[in-house]
Amino acid sequence: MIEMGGSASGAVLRPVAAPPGAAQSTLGELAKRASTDDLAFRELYDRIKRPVYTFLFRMVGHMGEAEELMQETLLKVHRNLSRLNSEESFLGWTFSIARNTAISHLRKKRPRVEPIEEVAEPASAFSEHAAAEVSVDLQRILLRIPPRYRSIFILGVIEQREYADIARMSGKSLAAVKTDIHRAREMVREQWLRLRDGKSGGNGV
Amino acid sequence: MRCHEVRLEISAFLDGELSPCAVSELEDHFEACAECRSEVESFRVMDAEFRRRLGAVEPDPALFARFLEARDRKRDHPAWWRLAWAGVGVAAMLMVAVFGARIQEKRVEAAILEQIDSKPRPAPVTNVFAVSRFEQKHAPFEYRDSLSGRNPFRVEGTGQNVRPVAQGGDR
Repeated sequence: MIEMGGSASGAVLRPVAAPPGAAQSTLGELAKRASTDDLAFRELYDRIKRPVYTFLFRMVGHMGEAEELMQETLLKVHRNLSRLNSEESFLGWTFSIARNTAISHLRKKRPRVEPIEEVAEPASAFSEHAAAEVSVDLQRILLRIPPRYRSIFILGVIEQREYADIARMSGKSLAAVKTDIHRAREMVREQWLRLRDGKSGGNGV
Repeated sequence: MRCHEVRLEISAFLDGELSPCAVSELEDHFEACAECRSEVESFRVMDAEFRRRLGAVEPDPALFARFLEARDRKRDHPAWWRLAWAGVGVAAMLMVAVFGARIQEKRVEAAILEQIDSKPRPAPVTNVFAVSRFEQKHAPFEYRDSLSGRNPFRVEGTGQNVRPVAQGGDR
């Protein structure tokens, strides 16, 4: 259920709580209607925005850039809804579009010199600063590894998606995904150990 | 299992992607091998830290409205590459039209020339051995066909191709 609302940038579609007893449509059902029905597309967006945006943000480490990529991903998803195979998971398909969009964007752009942004994490007043600092350090580690391995590390290790899903998203074999995740883990660990060594004054782990 | 084989399976082990049989085989190895056990622990700590610190992020609430705007803008104003392709298409059609007309013109020309050539004409009378002193000096090795004794590239009687060749052409 969705209502129309006004905003500075024009009409905005806002979902409202479904009445009790109303069955929630599946992503597949919504996807079938979404190419012609903006309300259905809004509902789809609400269900996938968090994981997809988080993935894009982790890929680029910058909110403005992540939002641009999210918008590009939404445009591609909306344009190609008719091509979505009914057997395919909508979220997996959207992830594969987001992944390809992010990787091609990273191939084109020059390395960012601005500091990495980090969103506020829930933390106590005392540890807030230290927690944000650690998050920035970890995000920086992600940005140091090649985009292909970065995406696989985010999906496989941080998001804990199944290897079979990742294989479908990236168009690779299960064996290749297994090897790539292991390689990505090793790359990240190398940087992570270096960071820990640096913080503990070079005493090792 | 040997250590190097175990190391290759550690990621799949941590991600729950191994069969129960393979898991118990690896666990047996970790019991016995302190080095591999420390390796898997190190990965486990790292994974947990990344998952805890790099949590989910919410996009700007206005992002969907911006997407709708961008989509409608694209519908109203087609992308530059679409316009470029339309331009290429028009240019290609124009080229086909121009070349088609030119080819037709050439065909008509060829037909007229054929008609003219088919009329009997007297053979040109030329003395092929009469070579001017100028030609002997500047083009002593002018090409001549061995059968006809003529230079087939020469325009007979006009002297148009009588031009000095490079000095030292007598080599």
